[in-house]
Amino acid sequence: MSDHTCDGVGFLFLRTFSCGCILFFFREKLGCTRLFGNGGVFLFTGLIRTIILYLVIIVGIRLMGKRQVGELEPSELVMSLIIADLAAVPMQDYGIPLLTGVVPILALLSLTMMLSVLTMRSLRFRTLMCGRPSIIIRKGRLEIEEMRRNRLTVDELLEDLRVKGYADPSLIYYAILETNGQLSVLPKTAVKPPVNRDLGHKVPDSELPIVIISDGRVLDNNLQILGHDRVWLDKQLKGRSPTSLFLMLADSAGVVYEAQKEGIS
Amino acid sequence: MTRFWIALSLLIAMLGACLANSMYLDDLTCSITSQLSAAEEMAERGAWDQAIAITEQCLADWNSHHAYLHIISRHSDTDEILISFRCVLQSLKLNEMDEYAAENLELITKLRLLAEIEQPDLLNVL
Repeated sequence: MSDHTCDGVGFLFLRTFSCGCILFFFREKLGCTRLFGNGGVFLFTGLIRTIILYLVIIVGIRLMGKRQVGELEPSELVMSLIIADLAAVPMQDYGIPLLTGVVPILALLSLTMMLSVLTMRSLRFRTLMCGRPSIIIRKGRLEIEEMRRNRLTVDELLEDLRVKGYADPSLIYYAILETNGQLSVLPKTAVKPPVNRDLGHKVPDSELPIVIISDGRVLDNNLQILGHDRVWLDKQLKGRSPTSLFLMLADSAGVVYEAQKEGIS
Repeated sequence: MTRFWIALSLLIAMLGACLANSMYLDDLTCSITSQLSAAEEMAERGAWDQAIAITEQCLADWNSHHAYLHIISRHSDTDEILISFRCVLQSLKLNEMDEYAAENLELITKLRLLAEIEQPDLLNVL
């Protein structure tokens, strides 16, 4: 979704919300009491409940520290699905108290947090909760018993290998089925692309590029981290305004990447 | 470990709040049901005005907890109890003993069920 679409949606939302507020608070003076039910305001109830539940879930998930579904352990993935279901019930049924959704969600998040901390602290608990990675291909040899134990079919294994770019299992030295269900692959040395070390090339390590300009805004903290200042930035911009750039990345050596905003030459 | 203790504290706080809620609701409904039973005894003795006064007091008590009840109970349950109160009062004002007794019993049952749902009971959990 582009910035313009987001702005448009945001403006529409604010306008609708403002109109709704005016209608609700001045409904008697405006003579539109029939718009709202006796003792209740269905549209408003749904809107406010959705916002509250959404914020509760977002805050909870952020506190858990996971950002991608792919990184979740199975128990955490199940928890996420249950939370989504729990949140939907009071969002849709206004006869149910909001606490019916909030309390179970908070309880689930608390339990998950506790299990997550215990998993980090105790190796045994981690094995109990998450299991162990399984070596499916060991030194080029298929471990059929491990495949059976993990209920991994040949078709699934070949599919995962193809997704990783290896259509031929004989090219694989190790294939490990991780606890999150992903397959990690270590190819045989003979089929690995050579790296600088193999070719005897000594190449200095590259620095981590840091964002200097994001969507037209200069990030002064990041400039300081790189040991640069606005004077340096002005030299790099060569007369251009920072607001004309969508993205600028730099490292200690200099600017690495620039992207202009659309519609600006 | 800080996050662990925060999460555990939150769980314990929610458990405490749930237990406190069930105790409070039980006390509230017990108090109202005992008054409703006393009102029925008054009505049986022919003291209709006193029965009406007691029932109206119960209704006022119930309404004074309206916000709290809406937050913790299903709205349909609290609405039904409100309707039952009105039916009971109507029967009282018409001095119809049989109908009043039936309506009163239904109201008392609904109040008790509302409190029972919140009790930390194995039956409720299962």
